[in-house]
Amino acid sequence: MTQAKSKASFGLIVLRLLALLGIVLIVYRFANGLGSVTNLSDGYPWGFWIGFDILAGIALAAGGFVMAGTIHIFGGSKYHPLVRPAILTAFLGYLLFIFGLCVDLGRPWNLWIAIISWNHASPMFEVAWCVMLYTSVLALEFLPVIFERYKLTGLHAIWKALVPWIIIGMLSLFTLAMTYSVVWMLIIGGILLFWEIMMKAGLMPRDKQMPILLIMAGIMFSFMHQSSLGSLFLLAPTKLSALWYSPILPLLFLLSAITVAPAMVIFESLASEKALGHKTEFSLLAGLAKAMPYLLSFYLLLRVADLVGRYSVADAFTLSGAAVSWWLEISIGIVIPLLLYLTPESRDSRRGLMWSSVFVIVGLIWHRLNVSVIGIKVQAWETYYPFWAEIFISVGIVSIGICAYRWAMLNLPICEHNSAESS
Amino acid sequence: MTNHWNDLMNTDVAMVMGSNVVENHPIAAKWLRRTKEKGALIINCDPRYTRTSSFADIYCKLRSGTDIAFVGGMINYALENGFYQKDYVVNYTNASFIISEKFGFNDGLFTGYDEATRSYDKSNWMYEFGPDGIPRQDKTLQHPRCVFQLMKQHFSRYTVDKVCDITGAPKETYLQVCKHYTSTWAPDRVATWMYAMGTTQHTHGTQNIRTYAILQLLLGNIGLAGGGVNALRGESNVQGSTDMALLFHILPGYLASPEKKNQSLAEYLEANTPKTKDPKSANWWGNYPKYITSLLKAWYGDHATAENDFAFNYLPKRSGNYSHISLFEAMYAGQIKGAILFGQNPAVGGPNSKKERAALEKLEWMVAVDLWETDTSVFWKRPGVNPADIQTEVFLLPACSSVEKEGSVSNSGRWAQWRYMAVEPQGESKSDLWILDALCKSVKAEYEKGGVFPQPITELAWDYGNGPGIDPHHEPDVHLVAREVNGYFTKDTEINGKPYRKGDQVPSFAFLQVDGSTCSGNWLYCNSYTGPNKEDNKMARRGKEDAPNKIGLYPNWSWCWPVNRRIIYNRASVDPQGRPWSPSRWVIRWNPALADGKGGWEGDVPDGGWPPGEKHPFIMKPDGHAWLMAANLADGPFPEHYEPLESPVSNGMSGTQMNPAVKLWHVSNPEGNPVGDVEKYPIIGTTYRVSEHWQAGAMTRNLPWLCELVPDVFVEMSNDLARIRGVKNGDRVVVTTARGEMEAYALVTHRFEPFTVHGKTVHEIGIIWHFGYAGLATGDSANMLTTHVGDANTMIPEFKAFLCDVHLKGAAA
Amino acid sequence: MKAMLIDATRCIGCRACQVACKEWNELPAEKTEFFAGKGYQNPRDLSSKTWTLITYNEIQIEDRFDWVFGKKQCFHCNEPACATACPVHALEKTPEGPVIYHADLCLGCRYCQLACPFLVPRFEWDKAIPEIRKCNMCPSRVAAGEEPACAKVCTTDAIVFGERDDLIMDAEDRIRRDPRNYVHHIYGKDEVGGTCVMHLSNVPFEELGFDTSLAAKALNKKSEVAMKPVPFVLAGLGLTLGAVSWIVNRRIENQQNQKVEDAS
Ligand SMILES: Nc1nc2c(c(=O)[nH]1)N[C@H]1C(S)=C(S)[C@@H](COP(=O)(O)OP(=O)(O)OC[C@H]3O[C@@H](n4cnc5c(=O)[nH]c(N)nc54)[C@H](O)[C@@H]3O)O[C@H]1N2
Ligand SMILES: Nc1nc2c(c(=O)[nH]1)N[C@H]1C(S)=C(S)[C@@H](COP(=O)(O)OP(=O)(O)OC[C@H]3O[C@@H](n4cnc5c(=O)[nH]c(N)nc54)[C@H](O)[C@@H]3O)O[C@H]1N2
Ligand code: SF4
Ligand code: SF4
Ligand code: SF4
Ligand code: SF4
Ligand code: SF4
Ligand SMILES: [Mo]
Repeated sequence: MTQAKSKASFGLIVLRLLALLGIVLIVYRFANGLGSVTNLSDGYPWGFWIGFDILAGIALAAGGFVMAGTIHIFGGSKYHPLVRPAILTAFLGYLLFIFGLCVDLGRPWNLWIAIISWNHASPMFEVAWCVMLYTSVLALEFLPVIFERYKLTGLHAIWKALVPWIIIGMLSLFTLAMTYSVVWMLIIGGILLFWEIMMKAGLMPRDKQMPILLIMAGIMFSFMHQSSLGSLFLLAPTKLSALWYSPILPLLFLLSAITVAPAMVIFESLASEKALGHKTEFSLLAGLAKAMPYLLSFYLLLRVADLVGRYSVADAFTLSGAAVSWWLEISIGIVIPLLLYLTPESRDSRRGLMWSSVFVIVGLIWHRLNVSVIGIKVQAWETYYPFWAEIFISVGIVSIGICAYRWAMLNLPICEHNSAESS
Repeated sequence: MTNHWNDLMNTDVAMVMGSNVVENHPIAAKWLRRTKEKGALIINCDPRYTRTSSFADIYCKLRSGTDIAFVGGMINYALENGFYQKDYVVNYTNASFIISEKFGFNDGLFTGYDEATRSYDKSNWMYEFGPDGIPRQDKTLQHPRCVFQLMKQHFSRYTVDKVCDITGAPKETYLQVCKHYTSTWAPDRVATWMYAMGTTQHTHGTQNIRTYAILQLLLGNIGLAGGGVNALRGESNVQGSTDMALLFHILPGYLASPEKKNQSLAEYLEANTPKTKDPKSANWWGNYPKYITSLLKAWYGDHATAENDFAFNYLPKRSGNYSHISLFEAMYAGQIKGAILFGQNPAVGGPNSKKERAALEKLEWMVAVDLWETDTSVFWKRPGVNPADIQTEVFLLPACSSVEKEGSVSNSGRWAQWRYMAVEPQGESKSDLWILDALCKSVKAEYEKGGVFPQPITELAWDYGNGPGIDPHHEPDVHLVAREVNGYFTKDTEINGKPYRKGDQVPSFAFLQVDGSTCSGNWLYCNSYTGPNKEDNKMARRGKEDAPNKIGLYPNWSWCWPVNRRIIYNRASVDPQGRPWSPSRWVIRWNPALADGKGGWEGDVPDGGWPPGEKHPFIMKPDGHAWLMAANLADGPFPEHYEPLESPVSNGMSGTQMNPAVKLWHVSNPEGNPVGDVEKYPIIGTTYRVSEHWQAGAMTRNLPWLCELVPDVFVEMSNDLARIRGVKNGDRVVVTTARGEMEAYALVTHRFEPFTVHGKTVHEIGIIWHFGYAGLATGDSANMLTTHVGDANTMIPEFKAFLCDVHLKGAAA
Repeated sequence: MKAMLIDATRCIGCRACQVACKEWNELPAEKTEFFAGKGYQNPRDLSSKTWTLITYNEIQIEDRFDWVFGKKQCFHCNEPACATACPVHALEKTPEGPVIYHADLCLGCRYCQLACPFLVPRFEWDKAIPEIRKCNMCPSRVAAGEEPACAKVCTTDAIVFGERDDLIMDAEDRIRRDPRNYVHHIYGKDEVGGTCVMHLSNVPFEELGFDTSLAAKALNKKSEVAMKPVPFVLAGLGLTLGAVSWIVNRRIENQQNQKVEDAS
């Protein structure tokens, strides 16, 4: 570990400098308005931040719910060692995402207004609520780590007792906000209550690690907002290129987020292995990688079918920047990793897995940028490309994230997980 | 305007020629739109395609300065094809009058021309009188010397081909214009003609208007609803100020300003009161003595008595022409020591501004009374001069704007509308009335101390209700002014059996007296304020009821001169039996059932109440007829096409290149008045306005919202010319003339096109003249380019046509 | 519902409306130079400081040259995409017609900008405390029974304000009375579900810069597809996840019990 520390020190300094630069730029942005650090315009009100920090960021944090689900719902308990890192990434990711959002929002101090002023027709409203609630869920999921680290067993017990009720409350309220319907609220609340009662009554097996309702809530909120991030663009049919605009955009967003999750977990594990020296059992990673070909091919199939179904295949064969970008996205993000995952040499090496995961991740980021930036064309408007400060603010935020991740990995019981399980 | 704004909605064909009505009088478009949507046709003739053209159904281009040729051709077209309203022409115009044998016309010159004085002996153009002293007439219009035949002969030279060759108008469009416009010769069809500065600002501006009038008379369009010759006046109250003697040659009510030769009231009246022997001629101007006497009574009160000619000799007598150019030439020559500039900005608006700005430097003192610090009031620190070199002492008096004071505004339609103060005067500003009152009181105080001939000042009747001294907190009573303008009885009088007491308001100008028993500051406004109370102020009326003829007269909305007659010459709107030519939009009509069977007029206030046929309809003319041929103008009884002072081509009509009666300042006062030639300056230049700016710009170039719309001075030019000069839209270009140069942005547009004149391509460019060096938005003034030359009759400067060149900034000229 | 009908055949391009809008709404002037668009157009586009803009379109149709003036402003859609988009109801479609903005609710997310098919909402990019700015149909005037400022000053009644249904009848009537002078279409009657600002023109609408590819369906129908199923998905997930975990965990437990039994 000490060795790892010194090895990382040069990179660490750079990271910290980048984080600092980001913060300086952010201060500048709050003093002078968004125009001072971005190339955003009334024609292109959303740019790099939305595409990268938010759309891609959230999708990449999907590892959390996918791993949690895999383990606790689908019983993939052997992946337990991966769950805490995944939750950590997700939690940090969401915190940073909210931070990034505050930088991007013109009036972030009004963010709380979303709690009281409801517009359930707005995909953005759904995103806002899911993110708020899911971050809370992640916080709840993450708390045991803290309890463990500081041996707060009493609190842990209280937590255990309260969590189900908090979850039932959250989801019921969420349902009410999304539907304005007390009936639906009661239905959803009822379902959850049913499971809780079943458990209380011992009719249902209890998960030892996490209350099952917490995991369920995480998955439900994730499903909702991973998909509704795609719904956001349903309102821009005239602006988003037909290569991406699709009525099933929400589904594609969800699916791609699920697809990227294992890749992200693999990548993180390997990367922190490199940087921090935690060794992850290769078999676990290989196991995750097994899911990839299925996920990728299904996703590819859906993408192509969607394009065909909308009679927009021809768009991919025009000589436009968008078409090129589409081809790159599809090939780098889906086809190449698919081939790599199918190739035994690559599948069976850490290096191979690393690379194929990187392709998937880059492909996903590319997709989100395509939808939110590259694919958006506003007639008679100078096109948008990010200003350097935009990129450096994002880089700064990511750097803050990595530093925080590193700190957590080094100081919190994230990886020595087995001990927790045996306790 | 013979008619008024609302009346535009009554027309069948609206001609906009010589104005850009939609941009400069946008509210007019409200009324035009209504008639347009009922099926009326709008025609626009202008050197360039404007927002008016876009509103019009037919747009025809013509080269600047060629209106007489253009309309002369239309007159010819009407006469050749018999498209004129014969009954109207025979009965209401002087077509049948026989002209003196001395009249003749040769190669662009009428008889009686004296080259040395550049003037005509107009007696050569007179009527031939019968033994009864009445002009001889031939109602068959066959007599070779009758006006009709002379006119026909004169305009026969304006053939379509010739006209198109001179004006550059496309032949087909021109024929369309002729066809549609002259279609209104039918008695029940009417056309209106709207003109302004595109018409007047020429060396032959008055004759431009004459062509419109002649055509309108031939078509029987004057006096009718939806007809008339309509001068779209400029400044919001320029009609009112002209009525009140804005111009040097008139006193209030268009009475002549006395000249040196008018040594007594009698001589003055002899020179100015028209006479007639025709019993059917109302000869309204025969009342001249009553009007001038009442005016003098208003000015000098008890000091004006029959014994002293009503103080006639207190009036200054002019010797010559004191119009704008003359004044500035005199100023430049050092003959004028001081100037008070009330609400004007000649450093930008005056022609040949380089010279006029230099002329201001010769003043010892100058007072500017304005809302803003104008280009004129800061002339001494304009770019390129050293303030230390300029000795003129300049005072700037802050004036109230129109919304900070009460008073009347007379619009183009002659409606005098009373307005109230909307906001308190800002800062230290004072109303013009206060400033004038204070000025007069101080000057009086000075003359009380003695002087060479102090009485014209000391004996002025001057009491507007704010005490004898100057009181900064007390406004003069504008109602007292308005009541004096209307006039009141100066002693107890009885008229037609009705008694009037001293101090009573005079009911209307028919009651004004020659013996000094009435006063009136302006006989035309007599009837506007007919009682002692504010309720008697007819200008303040806001009645929203239309008259029974439903043609938009709104007789109880404000008040209009004369005697609330909304359409003047309206006796010409009916046939000699009193039946409207156009019954669907009758203005007046004779109703035999009225007045207990004696009969009476209904509708608008008629041009005199006599029964039909009793008097000729054009009561302001001594012969009672409208003049197709007019012997009173300086430059000929018929309009004739001449080229502007600076023109790229020779006159296609005759060997007389330019108006022979125009004063040539570049000959008499050559310094600062160079004239350019076509070799050096091959392009025609013209100047005009845009909706977004007002005049010399002080009122708009200081308003950020308007500066946003038109922030810079620009030159409009055709694609062809831009290509030739290597100019692109948005480039900075320099425009030069013999007198000066200016820089501007180039606006390259399809809306300007070259002309084909005498088979050659002639280019024209246009520049907005609103810019100067003061204010928020600044830019070069177009008047750096224009000339000191004016119309033969009015001396209005020829702002609309001159020679120039244009090239890319930085490129060699 | 109140609406405005703007007739390009009547508009004379005087821009009284453009200035009146700034005057009434106290919007600052923009710094301009020469002209920012064709003809006399200024400024370049709508902005946070310019809520309505007259465009100058020089159009050559066959041998006829025409100068036609268009008016840009918020369309006050019947089913506004901006208001659908806004997560917090900072943009609100009022029953009277105007689509109005509440700065005190706004997050500054600019989703409204992305959603508006007419590119109307503008953001104050240069402000530390920015707002979304756009034509709001002068709601205080409308509430007081007055017409919007721009309609009030319009010199030629090119802008008329009234009940939407009446205006549509009026517009149809104008087309019927003068069929050769109008494109036979009321722009905004049906586009994106109908709008409260409608236009008539004598030249094809695309010549005036209008998007003629917009369908009649309101844009919010597009997102409704995704929003409607929310509760079903939630319920479905709740049931499925619970059931799956029950089954799976039961099986695991059984297996473990089995193991324990086997071992014992
Ligand atoms: N917005 C605005 N309105 C104004 C004013 C203003 O400054 N701004 N000024 C007011 C005043 S004081 C006045 S006097 C009026 C003036 O009103 P207009 O006379 O309408 O004013 P201009 O724009 O000077 O000229 C009118 C047109 O004459 C055309 N023209 C040029 N040469 C010729 C020619 O030889 N023949 C013909 N037929 N047309 C020609 C020009 O292209 C121009 O379109 O406007 C008044 N209204
Ligand atoms: N090249 C070219 N030159 C032209 C013309 C053209 O067509 N081409 N047109 C000519 C014509 S038609 C005209 S009328 C002249 C106009 O020329 P000017 O009359 O010199 O121009 P304005 O800018 O109207 O000046 C009027 C001034 O009065 C001030 N003012 C406004 N209200 C009040 C008030 O109540 N009291 C006082 N004391 N001041 C007030 C305004 O601030 C403004 O500065 O320009 C002429 N010049
Ligand atoms: S500027 Fe004044 S007078 Fe001229 S149209 Fe406008 S409101 Fe009427
Ligand atoms: S035009 Fe745009 S901003 Fe206006 S109501 Fe419609 S969607 Fe909203
Ligand atoms: S920027 Fe404001 S008004 Fe627009 S969608 Fe976001 S919260 Fe609503
Ligand atoms: S309705 Fe009101 S806010 Fe909208 S453009 Fe007109 S004046 Fe401006
Ligand atoms: S005020 Fe009316 S006529 Fe003038 S530009 Fe605006 S819409 Fe057109
Ligand atoms: Mo004027």
